[in-house]
Amino acid sequence: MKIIVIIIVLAVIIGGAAWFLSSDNSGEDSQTTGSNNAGGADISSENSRALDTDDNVFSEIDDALSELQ
Amino acid sequence: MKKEIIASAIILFVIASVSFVIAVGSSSGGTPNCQIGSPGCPDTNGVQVNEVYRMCESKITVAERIKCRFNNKEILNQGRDYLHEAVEEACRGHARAEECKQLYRQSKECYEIDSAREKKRCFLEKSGVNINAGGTFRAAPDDSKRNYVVLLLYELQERIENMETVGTITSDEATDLVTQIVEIKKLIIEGKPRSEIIPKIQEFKQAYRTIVGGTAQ
Repeated sequence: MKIIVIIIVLAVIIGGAAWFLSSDNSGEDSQTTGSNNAGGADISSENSRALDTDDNVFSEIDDALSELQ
Repeated sequence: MKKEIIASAIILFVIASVSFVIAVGSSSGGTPNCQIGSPGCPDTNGVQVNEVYRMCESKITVAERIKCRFNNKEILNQGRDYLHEAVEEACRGHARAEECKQLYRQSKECYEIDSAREKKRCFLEKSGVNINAGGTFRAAPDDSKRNYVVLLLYELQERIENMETVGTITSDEATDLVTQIVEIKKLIIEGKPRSEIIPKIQEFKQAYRTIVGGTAQ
């Protein structure tokens, strides 16, 4: 009985490891995003404008262009 | 005792196998599209995707090719993964074509992001702005800044294409706006000076305001 419990626990661990190893890039992406959040709260044109409206995208383009050489 | 071990081994195998199957299934990107230019693309109303693709490519001007793609998007969308790289007009006909294609390949994932803030971070990262190290936009190399503007313009292009799809604007209007965007992106990628880019942007904003509305200034 003890052996069965041990084997089931092992199976869960191996299954979990398999899941982790075979997961796609989305895991990596979310990790990357997380690190960006940690280090990049104040970015681009030194503001935190979101690209939610067309006008904001245009403003972001203007700011970025103003930094061009 | 021996039976127990065998039974346990079977359970172990089944659990591990199921985990793998579920994991692989969840990481799949869906059904692959047909590859334009290779045989085997399915017919749509008797018209081959390949034929439509070649027909649009054979048009002489950028505007004609863009218009052709708008008018045949239902068919061409069957090869959309391939098209994403194959038809990017801004990457054609200049010395920085490879860098341009690479930028589009790398930034493809950004356009799948729903959050406006996360999308912006993705654009910055793919442009080469060192945001993870706390870098500022101002301190970034000129090429990275140019990449960022190109990705922002492509974001507008995607929005215009969506507006055309839902019927907010006509294919002629969308063609006009996208053609202007392509022209500006080329100037930026080719490293043209600000003085050459700004008037084109102003012209584009004017057209955008007239066709789409908004307060872009």
